[in-house]
Amino acid sequence: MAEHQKKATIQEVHPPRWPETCKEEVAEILRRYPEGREQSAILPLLHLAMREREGRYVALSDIEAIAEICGVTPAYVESVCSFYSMYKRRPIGKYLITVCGNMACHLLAGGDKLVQHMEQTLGIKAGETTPDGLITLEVTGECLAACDLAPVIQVDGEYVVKLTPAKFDALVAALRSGEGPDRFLEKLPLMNGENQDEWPGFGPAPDAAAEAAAAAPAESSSEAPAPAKGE
Amino acid sequence: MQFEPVLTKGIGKVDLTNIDVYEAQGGYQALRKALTMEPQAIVEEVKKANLRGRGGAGFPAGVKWSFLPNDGRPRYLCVNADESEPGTCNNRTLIYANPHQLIEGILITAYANRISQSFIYIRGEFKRGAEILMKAIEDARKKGYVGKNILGTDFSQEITVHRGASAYICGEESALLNSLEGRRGEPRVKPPFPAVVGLYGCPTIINNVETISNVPHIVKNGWKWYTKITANPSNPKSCGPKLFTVSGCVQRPGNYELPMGVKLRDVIEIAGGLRPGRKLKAVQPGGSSTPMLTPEHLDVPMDFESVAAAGSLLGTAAVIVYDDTVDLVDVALYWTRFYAHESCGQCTPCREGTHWLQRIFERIKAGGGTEADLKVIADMQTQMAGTTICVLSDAAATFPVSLLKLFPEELDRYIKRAKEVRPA
Repeated sequence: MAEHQKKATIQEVHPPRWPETCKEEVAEILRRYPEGREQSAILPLLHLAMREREGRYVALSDIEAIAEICGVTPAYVESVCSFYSMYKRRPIGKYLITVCGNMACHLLAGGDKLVQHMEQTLGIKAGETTPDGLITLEVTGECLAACDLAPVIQVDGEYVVKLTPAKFDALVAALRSGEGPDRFLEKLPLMNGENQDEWPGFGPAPDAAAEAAAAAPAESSSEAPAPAKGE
Repeated sequence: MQFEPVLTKGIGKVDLTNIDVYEAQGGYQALRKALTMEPQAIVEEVKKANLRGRGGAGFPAGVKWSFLPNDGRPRYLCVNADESEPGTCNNRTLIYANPHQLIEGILITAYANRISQSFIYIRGEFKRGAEILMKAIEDARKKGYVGKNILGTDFSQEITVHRGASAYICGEESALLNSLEGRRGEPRVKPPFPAVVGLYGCPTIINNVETISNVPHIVKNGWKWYTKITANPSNPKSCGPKLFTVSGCVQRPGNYELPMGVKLRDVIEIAGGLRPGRKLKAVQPGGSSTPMLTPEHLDVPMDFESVAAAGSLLGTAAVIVYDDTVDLVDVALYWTRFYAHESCGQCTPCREGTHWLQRIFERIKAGGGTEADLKVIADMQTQMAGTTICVLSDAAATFPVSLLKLFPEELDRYIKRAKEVRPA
């Protein structure tokens, strides 16, 4: 357990300040749902509580506060909270790096080797936080839904696409120097055909693909399995 | 094949998250037209257009809409943006790059079905997607498209963005409702179906992002135009534009909008084809939950019926391509691990089955597999499929069973090797 995590579990954590400081936002969240359906606000309030707490996790006192707002028992909120893997119950680092550990990224695009590289670069195992409390590395089993840009990672919910070991090292250097991740995040929206490698479906197709598209419907089925190019 | 993109028109060229740009491209015209129509006429239009649900099941959206009972209870619309089927990322594109199209579709659907309030359930990982949608809703509100008395009519609508927090199962429609109600995302027993008892016990429509994104175009251009969008006119049951996510062993993985019924061969070619010197081994045509197709199926038209006839499912049209360098036992290991992690644990066949499948494949991969394991895998088709509340269990058994049926030699290789090393 990293030093900052120990501290948070041993020391009494402060009760949440967000019910006061984010009063407006809490009221706005409650207004989103029909009268008498405050329970629907549990998920958004858990997101809010996690965002507001130092260490970005859900503490027991957050759960108690949410239970009071939504009119349910703390045990109920706890049971909801534990179902969803995004809600962290232990402090995490300043930056959370989530690596897509699913098929397209991991097996087919070399992401498994990338994870090894990340662990070496950071000197921690997946699921751990660097001793300085800067970076938490996690590998998710869920698909991050960017298989077209594999391998991908997220830094605090923002995508970094088509990752390479060099890009990762540069990202970590930027995080360590205090510059932040912005330079590495997926650029959106894409306009005027820029970044065509990143979303190839929406740019002018290279000649080969355009020809294939033009010729394909007329193609006879007698050909041998076509896609094995270069054979 | 010349195909003018419909859903992705302008993506990559202009900034469609800007409402003025979207309007300049003809945006919100369909809403204006819809508000002059009778609600029921819109439902009929969508029915005639034969808009099939794009979330995987392919159920006709217009038919789903007409299941709503008319009993005075409030009605809700939930858009399923919990895109998490491995291999699928077309909803992400539609949300991140063209949010107003979705909002316009929601407004038309809400008007057509006399919906009280609309929700977009978006997966927690799409943090920026949720922000983009919320901003788009506010921009639309300023223009009078969202809120009270839309465009001076007596139609009012609020759209709420609700973020999930990472659980694959919440893509299942009744689990999504539970999650939206602030519960654990566990699927509900059906019937009653959500159309009758859905969100907060009221009649509810749940449609996928891509399905709803089609609605403005149907209203604007008419059902006749829509049914003509197909590359396989011999099958009138599937039509319209479809986003194909091609991933895995192709040269240009990406989202490609193509007409329904395009041949699998063409989909792979458009994504750049295989890497030089590689041979196609297998394709999963609709995400991780669909059985594999083999090179002999390259001429199968990618529509719901044709893919089903070839022994698989179109699903979300997430085409995952495996070439001859991929060890399909590795693939099975990934899928079984994934489903074991994502099983909600309500039903025994799924809770136990997914974990045993994972353990069996780990054992086979580690060289300790036996023929008895193959028997167990084959049995999963009857033991896991069709025995649970939702179809996660069926989905978990699909790939292993398909592997055993189509590529038994891949498994035999490991089992034989195990025998050589460890004679019985």
